Amino acid sequence: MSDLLRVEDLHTQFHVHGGTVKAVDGVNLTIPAKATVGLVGESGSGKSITALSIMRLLEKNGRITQGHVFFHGQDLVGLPDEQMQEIRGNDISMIFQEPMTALNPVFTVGDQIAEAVRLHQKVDHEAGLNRAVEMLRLVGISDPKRRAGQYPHELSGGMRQRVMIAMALSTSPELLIADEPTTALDVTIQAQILKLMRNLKGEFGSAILLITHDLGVVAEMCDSVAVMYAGRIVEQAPTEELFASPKHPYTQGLLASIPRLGKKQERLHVITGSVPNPLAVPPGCAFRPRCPVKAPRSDRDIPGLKPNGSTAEHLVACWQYE
Amino acid sequence: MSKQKLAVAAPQANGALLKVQDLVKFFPIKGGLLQTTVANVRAVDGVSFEIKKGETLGLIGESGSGKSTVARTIMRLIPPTSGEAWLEGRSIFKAKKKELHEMRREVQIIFQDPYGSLNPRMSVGEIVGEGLLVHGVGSAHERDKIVSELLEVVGLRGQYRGRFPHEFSGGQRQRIGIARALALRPKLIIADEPDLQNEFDLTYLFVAHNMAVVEQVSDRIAVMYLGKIVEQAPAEQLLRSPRHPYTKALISVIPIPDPTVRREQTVLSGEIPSPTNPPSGCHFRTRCPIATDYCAEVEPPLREVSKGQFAACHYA
Repeated sequence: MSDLLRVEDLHTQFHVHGGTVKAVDGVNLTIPAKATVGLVGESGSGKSITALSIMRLLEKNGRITQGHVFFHGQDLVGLPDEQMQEIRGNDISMIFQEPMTALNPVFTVGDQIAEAVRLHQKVDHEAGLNRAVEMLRLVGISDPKRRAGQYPHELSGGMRQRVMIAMALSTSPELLIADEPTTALDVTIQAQILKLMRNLKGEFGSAILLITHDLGVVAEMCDSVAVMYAGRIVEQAPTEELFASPKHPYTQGLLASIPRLGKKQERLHVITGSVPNPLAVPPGCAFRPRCPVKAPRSDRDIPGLKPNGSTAEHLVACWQYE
Repeated sequence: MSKQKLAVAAPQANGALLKVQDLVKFFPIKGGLLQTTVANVRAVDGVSFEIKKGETLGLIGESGSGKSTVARTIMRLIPPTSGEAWLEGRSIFKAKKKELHEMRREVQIIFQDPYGSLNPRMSVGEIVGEGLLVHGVGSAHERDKIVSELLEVVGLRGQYRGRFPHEFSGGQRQRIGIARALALRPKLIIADEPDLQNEFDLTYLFVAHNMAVVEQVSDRIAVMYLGKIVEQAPAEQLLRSPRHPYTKALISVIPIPDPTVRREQTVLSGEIPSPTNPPSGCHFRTRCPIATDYCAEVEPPLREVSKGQFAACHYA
């Protein structure tokens, strides 16, 4: 198996006023080379923290307490900062929902992309700038030379997103982590960005970890999907398989609750209750309080992620299949 | 037909709860030494529609389409530039203070950001009951009872009334906003991008950008683009056979949560132009896949293209 990234039993905790939040609580996830893997879940489920843990970009009060992140077989957890810096931006890049978090307001977008290229590929500034203009053209920005001389605030939201993608791909990373890249955009602009990401994937051959809460985007973009709930992956399967036969009660609820175009539903199915308080996650399966099945043992023990579906690639964490 | 005449004729006969006619809202851009108006943001540029009692109209559009400005203008949260709106035949824009007070009881608005619209220093009971108090409904004891009932109706426990907005999740805050809106038994609810879980037997103007959500709740849908309604039809009909190229593109790119579905997408190039200087003729022509020279010259009127379906396109 040529797994590009393999996350094993990853735990990330945050010390906050009032206790410790186990934001990521034993995540297992594999991303094969050149694949697009979707990571879905409600807000607060730990999707973004998983991504930031892989990138080692956690806030000061956050810490990876256990587990491994193997990239090409090398464990990124515990890697010296300088070496991590080499990998970050060069081999693994990340794009965010709000481009302004990644773009510096006081530098032109051309300079920023050039700087990223210069840092990681040891070329001079001029070569970096040429690459920047080339990248801006690649992400579909018209008049890229002029745009390279503009500041982030002079660009629209969709255009900033393109700039951030240009910057992230400027070093031809093997893995691109995209955290809700189109959530803040209008649907016609979202369509442009998703089309761009599909085209660029063909061009650069990067694997993508796509974090989203939109199952429509997952269906269109991803080869496989991992579903996250309260800090853990509860199900992972090839996309068609997951949509056709979801196994975990939470995934089943998620899929039943999406409004579907052209199909008037009597009443949208809603998963009752809400995500558990991160400071007081119940023992056993964290989904149990909202679960219609409430399988035996789920009140005591946390179920492991195992192949319980129809194929070996379909993994689910639920006691009802044991 | 002059706007003046329309303003005089109160169209009560057809039973519309809300009727909006030729609504225009320009935001002036001041500039220069004398702070004169140098340009206008043409946020709403001649919008007409009506909503019958018990009906839900979905008003859909992307950022900059003017949909939220329509909602805010109807509520008289901002004054219109021109046009008219009637609630059961009574002019909203000409209403005097007392009349307006009454109308504001009859029309309630639910906002997109439930947190921004809830006073953080008021308890949930005070927030939901505020309208009752302002409008002098019942005794203190009766008001308390109504508030508890309302909280139960929207799926929150009555005993939560002593808590404050920050103690609730986003979804719960949305429900607090709904409970507040329902308190005065309004005739019309204007919902601006809400996450509505409960449906009540009310008349709604549902303002949103998510077609899949709008379609679930709406009887009819009006699609806005750059200040104008470009298409309007019964919800199912609009989804099944859109006639305006913008509506067609909009529907074609909505991600479908089914990986086995593969369809032809029309990905529009470019972005919505600035409402300060909209294109001549048809506002959509700069992004339209089928635009001709004629579209730059003549603005297409909203015309009936099949029964109950209206589109503003020369080629619809």
